[in-house]
Amino acid sequence: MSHWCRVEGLLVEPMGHLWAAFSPATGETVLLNDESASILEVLEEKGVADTAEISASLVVDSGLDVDALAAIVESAWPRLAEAGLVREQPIRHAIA
Amino acid sequence: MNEDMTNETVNSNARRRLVRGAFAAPAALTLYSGSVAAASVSCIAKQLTNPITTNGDTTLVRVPLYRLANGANTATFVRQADIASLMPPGGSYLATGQAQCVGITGTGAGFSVGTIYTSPALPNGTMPAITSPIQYVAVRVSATGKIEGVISVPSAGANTALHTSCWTSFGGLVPFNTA
Repeated sequence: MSHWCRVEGLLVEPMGHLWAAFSPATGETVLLNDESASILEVLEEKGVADTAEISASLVVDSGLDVDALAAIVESAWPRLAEAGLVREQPIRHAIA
Repeated sequence: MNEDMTNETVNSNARRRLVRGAFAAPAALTLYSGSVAAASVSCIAKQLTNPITTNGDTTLVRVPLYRLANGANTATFVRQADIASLMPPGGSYLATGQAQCVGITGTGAGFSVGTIYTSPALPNGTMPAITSPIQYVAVRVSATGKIEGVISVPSAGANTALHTSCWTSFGGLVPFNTA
């Protein structure tokens, strides 16, 4: 399973009922809903996490079971990466 | 209120705003920048005065560069993981875990431009690290939607996709550099 982290220097601020996020990776600002912002919050706390860890952290606040959350979170990674908010953490391989 | 409580409150804001039992699809909506639009108009003009031949390719997108350095000898790579995030499964010419060398200095630390490696590393185990500040190269997308290759490979440094200042406009704080 892929591990993810926030892009370095990412800024996230509340803006009305949404969130504004500036990514140094893209030079763009994007608007986030609470679900995206909550994923970034968990990543900020954990540094690096996979879908299962993120989902487990959101169970209490979302009221959903972890499997349902995992499906939603897993499908969100491509869009969050495209927006320059997260990046996949390279996995180190042993040298042959 | 002490500092720890303040930080905890800020960090928990988004999760506290979640509606229980209704976790919607995470959304990220790009804001349209007027200044970038103005810069893009200039870039379009430059493109028109210096068009690039791409052998029938229809689209160019950018991916970050990763670098390995052994003294003055360096090699830069593009990773399948970055390309895969742009395309549907099977849309990349690189397989999972692979990286393609797209530029070298000196001897290239043992790597050669254009060659595809699985988990490239130096003999001491050092893995490629993302360039800092981040550098990008453009990749070609075919008419069928598949990533075909890096724009400057095999002729590294030639046939650059866009004028350097244009990449600066698109990249904001992370300007483009050729491989």
